[in-house]
Amino acid sequence: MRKKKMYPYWAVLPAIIIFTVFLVLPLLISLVCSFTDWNIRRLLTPSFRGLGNYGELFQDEIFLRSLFNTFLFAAATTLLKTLAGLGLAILIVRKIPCGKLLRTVYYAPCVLSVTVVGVLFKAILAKNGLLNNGIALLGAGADPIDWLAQYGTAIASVILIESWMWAGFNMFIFIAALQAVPREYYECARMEGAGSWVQFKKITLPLIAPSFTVVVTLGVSGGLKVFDIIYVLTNGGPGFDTQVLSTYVYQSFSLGYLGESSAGSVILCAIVTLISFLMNKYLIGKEVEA
Amino acid sequence: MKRRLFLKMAALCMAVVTVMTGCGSSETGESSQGADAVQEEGSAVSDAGSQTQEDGAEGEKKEAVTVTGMVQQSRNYEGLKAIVAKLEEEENITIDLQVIPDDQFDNLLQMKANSEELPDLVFYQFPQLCSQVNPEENLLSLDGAAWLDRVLAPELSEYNGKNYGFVFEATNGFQAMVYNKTVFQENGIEVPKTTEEMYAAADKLKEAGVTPFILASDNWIPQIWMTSGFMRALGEEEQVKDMTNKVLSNQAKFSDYPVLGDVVDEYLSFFPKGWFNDDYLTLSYDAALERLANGEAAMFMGATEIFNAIKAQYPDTDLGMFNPKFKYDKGDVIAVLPTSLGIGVSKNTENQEAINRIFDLWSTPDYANIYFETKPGNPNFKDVDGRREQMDETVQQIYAEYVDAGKTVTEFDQSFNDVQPLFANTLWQYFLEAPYKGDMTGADVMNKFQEDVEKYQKENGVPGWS
Repeated sequence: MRKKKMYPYWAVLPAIIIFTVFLVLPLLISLVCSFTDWNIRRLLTPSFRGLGNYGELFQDEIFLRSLFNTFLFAAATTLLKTLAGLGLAILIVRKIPCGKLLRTVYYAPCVLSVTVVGVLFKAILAKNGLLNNGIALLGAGADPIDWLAQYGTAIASVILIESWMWAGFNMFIFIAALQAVPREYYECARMEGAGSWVQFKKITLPLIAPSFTVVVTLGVSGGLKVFDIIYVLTNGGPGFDTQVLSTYVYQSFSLGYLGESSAGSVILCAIVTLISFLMNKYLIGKEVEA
Repeated sequence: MKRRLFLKMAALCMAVVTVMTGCGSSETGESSQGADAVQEEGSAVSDAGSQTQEDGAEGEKKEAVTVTGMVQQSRNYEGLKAIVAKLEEEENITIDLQVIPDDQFDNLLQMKANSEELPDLVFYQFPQLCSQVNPEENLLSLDGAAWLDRVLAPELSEYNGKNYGFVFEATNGFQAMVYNKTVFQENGIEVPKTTEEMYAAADKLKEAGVTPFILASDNWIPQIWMTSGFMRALGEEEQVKDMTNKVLSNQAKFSDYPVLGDVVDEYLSFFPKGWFNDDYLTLSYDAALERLANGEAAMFMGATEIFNAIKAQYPDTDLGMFNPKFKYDKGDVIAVLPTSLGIGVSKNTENQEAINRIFDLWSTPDYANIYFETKPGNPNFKDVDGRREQMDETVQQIYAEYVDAGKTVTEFDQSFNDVQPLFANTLWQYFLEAPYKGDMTGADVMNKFQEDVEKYQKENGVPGWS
């Protein structure tokens, strides 16, 4: 009997060990390091600095900008990815011609390497790139725009590209959810005279709410941790305008400021955990069962 | 039940021990084999005569030795690859070279040095390597090696009176303006000899629809204007050294040298005039070179190494170099890079004898000439042909007029090598940010960098900065 009781613990033990060694322990070490002046050139002689690193970070203009950009990126991409994913799922879940092909096409961007996407879009968004040539062909816009050379267009481009990449992934989650909604509910609703919008609002949305929890939580946490697409596409530029928390931490680490970069990672980790947790809790509360 | 469990555990332990012993034996075997090889190599080197005779025996395969190394991607020159291949073919010495992206190299180097895991050979610029890792703690002194007698510029690899590097070149050339001769000719422009002439040429080129000066978004490109300019504005090597020492030891600030701000201001003044390409924030280095080669742009502030690289990439383009004159120039000098790719040896290497053999061979014309075949330059060893005659005539002319005549100053990046990690992350970024935002003067840029230097020096615990 006791053996049976212990069985689940033994089963999760490997996962707990791996998580402890590769996640919990590094996090704790980062937390401790964030209170020191640890430096790559003085690896063995760090000294305690208290909240000094945190104080410096919150006085740094570039860090504050990175923080703003991180929130903007997470919010905008989550919204766009979710809406686009849902829209595509609603389109695909109906029996339309070439449905299977379209599923593959929409999903394709998320299997592409970010580096490849970055190189592609750098060429597309260049001043003499595909986008400006296309606009010129349509006869719109006299002066070609250097899309990645201004803050507004650069951050918007990065947000749109990220959303384009991951909308297909969300589409699959929503398709699974939509297919699980019992058809009878719609039939009853139609018999009661409910229109398409009412059916969607009163039946579809509540029943696919668990998918929203997954999609939004993944979107927000992924968005807050963004690094690769920014690094490849703008490298935080023009100037330091599109820096996000991860690129800021990376830059700080490159300078050998291990204490300061640890403080940056701790802030990032705390933000991701807190927002994901609150978001998850809120969305779970909105879920209903079929 | 307990017995069965015990047996199972014992069997598991046995299996683990067997696997570990297997791996261990294999490793021990390899390392002892390696040690034997080194031993044999060592005795062969110490007994040079018999070694040569043994080597001369036809068809005899030499004992295989593998030496590890790390090199920056941009420094993994064709000439280096060629001599590594020749070494393997003729001496059976393999250099297992880890090629690392430039932007990750310094961190990796520091990490490896601090954890005592440096590979046998560290390929890096000298004397910069001596400021990246403490040579006394991490590198092997090469004093007493026979090849050192043939070295022309031993100061490049010396630290506290000891030699720590095998350096290929005595200097790495100079910084000057690369120009497209055909574009100049087509627009009736002579090589400018004064600031006014250069400005007039820029206006003329702009009117003709040619971009006078091409810039790229890779931030190491715009910085060439300043790394050269800062020191030209000081005018004399003595001034350069004095300023460097004072600023780095916190006895002076950049603001004490207003000419530095003037250099940035002159660079910034080119933007509103439309002398730079307006997509400088997104144009890649390769695309910039292409525009220079195809005549869309006329000039590119570069260095001899870049010039050689462009020539190799676009052999049909007629390019030249000239020493541009700026308003801030004090005197008639050129900025040089007394630095070169070299090799430091890890203090913990077990392949010392093989490495001695490598350096002995690579310092001879038989090997070193190959290094310079694709990269003409200034060899650091006597009797080696740097193929300077293969250089463009305009480059040779600058060598004769400035470098050989001693009219040189050491570039800023080289002088301020102690704070080198700051460059790409801060200063060079400001050189792109300032024209983009348009709200920073040269003095602002230098003040901002002063703050970065202060923080960096304090974080690193440099004396005088507490």
